[in-house]
Amino acid sequence: MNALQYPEIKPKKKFIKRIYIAVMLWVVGRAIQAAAKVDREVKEEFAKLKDNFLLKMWIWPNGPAMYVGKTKDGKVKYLGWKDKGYKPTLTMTIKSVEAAMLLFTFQEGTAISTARNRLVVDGDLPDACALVRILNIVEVYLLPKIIAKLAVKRYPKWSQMNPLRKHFGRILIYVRAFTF
Amino acid sequence: MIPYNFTFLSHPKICSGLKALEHIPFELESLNARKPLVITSARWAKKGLAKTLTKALYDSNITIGALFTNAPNYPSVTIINELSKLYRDRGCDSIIALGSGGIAHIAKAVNMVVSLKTDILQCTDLTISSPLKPLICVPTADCEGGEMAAVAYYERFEKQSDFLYPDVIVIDSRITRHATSQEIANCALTSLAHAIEACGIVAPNPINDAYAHTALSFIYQYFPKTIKKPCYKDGSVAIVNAAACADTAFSNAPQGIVHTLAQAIALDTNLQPGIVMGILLRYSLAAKLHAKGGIRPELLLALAGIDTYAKTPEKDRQKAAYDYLTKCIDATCNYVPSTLKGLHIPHYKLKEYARLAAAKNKQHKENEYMALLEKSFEGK
Repeated sequence: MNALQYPEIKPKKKFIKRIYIAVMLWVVGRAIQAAAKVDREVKEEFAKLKDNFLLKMWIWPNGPAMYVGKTKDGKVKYLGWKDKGYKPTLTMTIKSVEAAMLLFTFQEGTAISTARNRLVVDGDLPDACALVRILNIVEVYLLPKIIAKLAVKRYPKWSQMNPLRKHFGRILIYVRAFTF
Repeated sequence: MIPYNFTFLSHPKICSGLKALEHIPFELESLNARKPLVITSARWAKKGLAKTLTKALYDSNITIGALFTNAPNYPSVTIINELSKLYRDRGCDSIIALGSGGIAHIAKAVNMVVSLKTDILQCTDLTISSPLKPLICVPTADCEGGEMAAVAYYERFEKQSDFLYPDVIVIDSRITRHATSQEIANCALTSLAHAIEACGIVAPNPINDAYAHTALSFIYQYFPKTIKKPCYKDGSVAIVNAAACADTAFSNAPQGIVHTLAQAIALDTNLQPGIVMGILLRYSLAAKLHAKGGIRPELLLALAGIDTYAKTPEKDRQKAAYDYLTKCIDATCNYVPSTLKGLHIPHYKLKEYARLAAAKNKQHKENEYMALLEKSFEGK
């Protein structure tokens, strides 16, 4: 057998997909920060979390990543994508770039993604559940109904989120997320 | 009554469905491995499966030690030794078997050689007492039975050990949809025979029954459509899942009369064991139906669901289960003859097969094997 026929194969990179995911993580991170100021429900969810709460959401094994945490004065802040020696209290690991693509192109919601074993959560379970609820609300604000329906488990009813609150909140979140 | 006297082991983790291949890097790292040797055949490489697997490993820390694309269907000592050398030369730490049948058994045999650091022929007599190197099985839909079980076939040997289970089984439609109708028939019939024999034993094991019933249910639901259209994604994934479940059930039950005879015939004739099992199973079921114990009525529940099971009177359940099973076997009529005579097996050989089977599996007597062979030969 000629072993040279069967060379070693180094893994290539999926640059475009990684860039897309990095942008989506940035948008979601900024939107969480904005939603914590705009939306009452998100504010309440964050208030229940520990003071040192720090979320790391990242794509295994080489990123990209997103850090969102509570500051000393209790405000929610998007801390960027670089690890600056943070000690996350909740780590959400997405198992592969493809799994992240399914999640961030809204082909799969967070609940389905978890059920299909594409996410690994390291941290307190109540914190993880709270974060999923926050992500759902943020997605409802960020996305048009037709897409958000795919991304969340249950789209909120009229009684849970009236259109006035939704559209007004959406404008505020977009403005706050994209202005520095 | 709770049948609490049983043992059951199912080691492999099954990753099945959409983008299942992309789970491989994470699973490999969880097993502390980063450099797998990938074994596949020229046929699958030509169909682009090796490329699909390679792409699934992009953006990870996994380097493929060697992508061997010339694996034959027969696990000979020569190929096992050559691949073991390749594994060591490249400093690999795990194995990925991309394909079913011989490929999976070659991978298991190579794993034994590199883990036990010995020759393959000596492995036959050794007792495996510790876990082997990580092995990931990515089966195609041409399973011949045993790929995902705790057994390895190589040359003319059969090695059984709990450590021979693959660590992870990855079932993805991008891999499973390339088999032919004949191969799907072979795979489904093998799984059907293994599942029925696993839950047809004297002291049934409830966990094993769950696996066997799942296999039966998948086959009954998806087999008729998949055999007509082998590229049907959901169907091919379901058939391979059925094979995985049936293999686990098979590993936890004593070998049955159909499996033993089919192996003896396949070894001598080079026929696919599934085809022989399909023929033998029909007559074995008919014989069982008229025997004292009969067929387990729970099979009807697995095949037809709770509604039909509840509607069917208790005394008719065995017959109904038999009818459902023969319907499944009949779906293969274009690919599998109904008698052993149709396979051009000479009648004088039957005695030899019965003797071989009786020597291998002493749970049944030679005349029992012979009776089944005689019935299956002419179809009486």
